[in-house]
This record gives sequence, structure tokens and C-alpha cells, in this order.
Amino acid sequence: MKEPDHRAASDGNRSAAPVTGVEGLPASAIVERLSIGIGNDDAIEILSMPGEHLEIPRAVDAWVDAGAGADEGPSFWMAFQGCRIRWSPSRCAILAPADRLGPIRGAVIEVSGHDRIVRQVERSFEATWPELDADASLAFEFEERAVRRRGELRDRLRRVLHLRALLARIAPVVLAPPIYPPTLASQVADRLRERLRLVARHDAASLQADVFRDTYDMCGQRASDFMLARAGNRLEWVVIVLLATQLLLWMFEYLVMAGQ
Amino acid sequence: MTARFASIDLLRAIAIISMVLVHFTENLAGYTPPFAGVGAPLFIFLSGTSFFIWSESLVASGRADAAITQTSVRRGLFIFAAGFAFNLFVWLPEDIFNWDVLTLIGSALVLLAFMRHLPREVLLLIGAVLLLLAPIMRSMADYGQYWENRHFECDLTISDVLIGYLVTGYFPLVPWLALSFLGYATASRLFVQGPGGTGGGSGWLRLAAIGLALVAVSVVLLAVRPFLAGPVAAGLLGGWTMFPPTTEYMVGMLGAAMLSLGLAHRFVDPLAQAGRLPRLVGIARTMSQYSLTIYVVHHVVHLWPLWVYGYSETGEPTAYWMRATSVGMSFALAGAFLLACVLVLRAIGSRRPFGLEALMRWVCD
Repeated sequence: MKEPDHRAASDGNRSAAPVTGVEGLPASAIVERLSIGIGNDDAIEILSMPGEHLEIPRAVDAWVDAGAGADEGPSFWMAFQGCRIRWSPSRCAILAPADRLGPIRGAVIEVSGHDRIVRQVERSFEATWPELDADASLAFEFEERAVRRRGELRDRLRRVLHLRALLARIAPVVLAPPIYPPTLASQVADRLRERLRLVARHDAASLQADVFRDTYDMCGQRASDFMLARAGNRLEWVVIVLLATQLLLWMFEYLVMAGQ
Repeated sequence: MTARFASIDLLRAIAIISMVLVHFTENLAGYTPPFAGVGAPLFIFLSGTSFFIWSESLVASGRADAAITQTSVRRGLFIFAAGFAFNLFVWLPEDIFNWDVLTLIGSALVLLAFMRHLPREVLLLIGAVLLLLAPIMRSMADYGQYWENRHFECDLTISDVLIGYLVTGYFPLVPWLALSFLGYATASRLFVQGPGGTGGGSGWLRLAAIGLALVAVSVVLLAVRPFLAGPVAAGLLGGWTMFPPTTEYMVGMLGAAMLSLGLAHRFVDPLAQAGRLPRLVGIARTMSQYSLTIYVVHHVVHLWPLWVYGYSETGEPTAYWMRATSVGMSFALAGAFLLACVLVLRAIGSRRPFGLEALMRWVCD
């Protein structure tokens, strides 16, 4: 199960990579690689292009699409109060007046970070449904044969809890109602979350996480009960073997005496 | 179909070859080779190992637990009965209760059928208790009384027969059952794949290390025995003898069996899986698959002619026992028997339609 390492998604924008330009665009258009706080390699490249833009240069489309991964889905345009945003999970272009670029960039980074977390959680669960099916029987009954799988089950429970914790950490922001009075940044963030169906996906991922957590939680409970019973059982067997030994010796002594 | 391990086949082939050579030379020439006492313990240890692999293959194929127990008990009783028939027809009626390897293995299979669900640690404990009890029970029974001229003799009374079965016979339950139980426990550790199993990891190393440690304990016990007090030296210990199976001997042979299984699993099984050593693996597999048959037949082919010739010449079947031929000739005859065995059994093929094993499957499965 792939496990996202989320530390501070909502912080975003903590480390800016070197600034570069894009061919075919004016020199004022700059690209920054900004961390979205999930892991060292988890960052989004943001193209900031200040000014009023009635026509959108084709180079912007080309640049955003060039960075899109095969499994990321299509990018989309969003226009809002004279600002234009072309967004994909790994690249985003912001065309806006210079004084609005900063707040919009912050909103994009925050929502992109949340989207990245939900996306990774979705992928993790999608890849582990077969494991869950295989482990489900152990949620009802644990057996000797499964004892050697305890470490594996423990790791899976830990990873599920980690994923569940990630969803819980971003929940206050993702599920929060729109703030009042609205700001440009908050409205951009709300619009972006809406386009990404982030609230619905977060709910669905949380539901899946609950299924995984319940299953592995029950597995852990069954395993713990089984191991406790097993330890007691072994002690009982030791006593039984010792009593049987004494009985055997007593019977054998009687047999020897009978033979004489 | 039961999974086969070349390591087990090879060790069982070594055990059966060793027993054939020892029996031919002892019964025909009265000579005991230096490797006498190696084959039988290994054979018994591997019976427990094979039982684990066989029962696990049935579990994996979806057989019900009760059905596995029933088949195991039937197989155990079959081998037990075969042991009696073997004693009756090969060692003649007066030796029917000499408690040979077959009756021991049969008893072990019946017991393992019921004990296979016990935790491994309990089986280890039972094995250790059996090893420790043996000298005490031999002392209680006055073991020497049952052995005349290095051969087991008992009165046909219930108490003597039972004492022979438990402690004083050739292969009594105490302590020989320990080898079968510990073979089962060893296999349950070594031949289980998965994260907690050691089938694919360093299990062989741990097993070999434990085996080596047991061999070392045996050597130390042998070395310090002359310096120990009489009751310990003569009672709990006893030197390196197979009859009676002393503590040093049993611990040493158990260690040797574990060591050889660990090493063979590490070095032979990968080669066999890679298709290397096909001839050696094929011969070992053939001998292993027919081990019970070879065990019975090799006695028949060298003892029956001896009994018939002795009876025809002197009126006493055992007249030429242990003095029928020279040591060299007895080795040559053993070698010829083994060669003939391999050729005939290989010609029969892997379907195994004949032999004691085929009869056992037909009756019990």
C-alpha cells in the first residue's frame, strides 16, 4: 500500500525552487516549483503571468499539459474576477494582475495539496482491496496458521490509520463552509475545490478508510485475543504433559511390578 | 498432490541405503559397520517431517480436518499392522513382538494424527520429556533383563509385551517417538512459506545451528561421562549405544538429523528446483517413494533364503544367521540389491502402482 507522507499540506509554499521562464511567453511570466507539503518530491509548478489577458497564449496550455501525468486526468480552465487559472495536478498557470497573484497562488497551493492527499489515499485503497478481501476472514476468526501474518496485519492497520489520519487532518479545511466575508483567495479555493469535487471525494475516501480500519481493527482484536488464549493454552498443555508424564511413570511402575 | 522436497528424498534415501547395508552385513556376516545406528533415527525423524508435509498438502487441497485425521489414523494402523506382519513372516513367529521400526512409525503416525494441532512448543516439550524419561523407565524395567546376546527377548505375557512396546524393545515408544515428533515440529517451522515462516529465509541456518549444538552437547556428554558419578554416568547417560538408545546417542542423532535436513534444504532443494542433479534427485526420489517397500523387501531377500537354507541343512532356520558369508560378500550383495531396486523401481515409474505404499494408499486413502 503506497503511503503518502503528509506533513503540512495546508502550509504549502514553504520551499520555492529556482525561478525559470517559459519559451513563447513574455519575460514577466515565471515558473516556480513550490512544495505542497506532502513529501520532498511533492510539489506543484506554478506559472505566474501578471497583467490583464484578454487572449490566452497557446504556450500556457502547452506548458500545463506537458507536465500532466498519464493518470492525472484532464486539466481545466477557471476564470474568476479577471483572473484565469489553468489547473492540473502537477502544473498550474495563473494569469492575473500582479497584485492578485500572491493570494491566488496561496489558494492554489493549498487546494492542490489537499487534492494530492485525497488522490494518493484513493490510489492506496484502490490497490489494496484484494488484500482486504483476503484478510477479511481473519476479522471473524483468527487461527494458528495466521499467527505468522500478525506483523503483516499490524503494518496494514498502521498504514490505514495513517491514511485515515491524513484525511482527518485536512478535513477542517476541505469540509469547512465558505468563509464570510469572502476574499479573492477564498473564493478561488472554494471554486477549485468544487471543480475537483474534493468534498465528495474526501467523504468517499473517508468511508473507504473506515471499512479498512474496521476490518484491520477487528483483525488486530482477534489476533490479540487469540495470542492471549494461546499463551494460556500452552501453559495448560505444559501442566497436562507433566501430569501425563507422572501418570505414565506410575502406570509403568505398576506394569513392571505386575510383570515381576 | 503432496509437495516433494529433494532434501527429504535424499536424506531418506541415505537412511534406507544405510539400513540395507547394515542389515545385510549384520545378518549375513555378523559384522556391524561403523555407520550402524545412523539410518534408523534419520528414517524415523523424516517420518514426522513427511507427515507434516503430507497433512499440510491435504489441508491446502481443502480436505476436511476430520477426514485428514481419519486417513492419518488408518495409515498409522496400516503401518503398525504391516510391522507385525513383517515380524511374523520375516523374523518368524517367536519374534512377533520385537517392536521394530514399522510398529514405531505406525504408532507415531496415529499419535501425530491427533497431536498435529498442538502448538509446536508442546511437541518439543513432549519430545524432551520422552528423551529424559527413557533412562528412568529403562532403569525401572531393568532393561538388561530383556536383552540376551545383544538381542531383545521377552516372555509372551501382557506386561512384558507392553514393557517392550514402551521401553525395552528394539524401537520402543520411549524415547524413539521423540524423533518423529521433533521431525514434525521441525518441518512445521522449516517448510512453511510466508512472512513468519522460515521456508524461504534463514530457517535452515537456525535449524542447522540447533542441530550442531545438539551434536556438540552429545559429544560433551560422551566426553564428561567418565568423570561423572555412577548413577548419572550409568543411569541417565550410558555411552554411545543404539540398544539401548542412550541420551547421548539420541541427542546426537537428533542433532545430526536436524543439521543434515537444514543443510540439505539450503543446498539441495534450490538445485533440484533449478533442474540440476536430475539423476541423483531422481534416484533419491525413487528410493524415498518406495522406502517402506525397500525396508521390507531387503529383509525378505536376504533373510528368507537364510532361513530356508538353514532349515534344509540343519533343521534350525537361524543356523547360519550372522555367519552365512564374508563381510565383503555381504556388502556386495547389499550393493547388488540396491542397484536392482533402483533399476526395477525406476522402470516401474512414478505412478507407483506396486509396493507397500500403493497398498497403504489403496486401503487407507
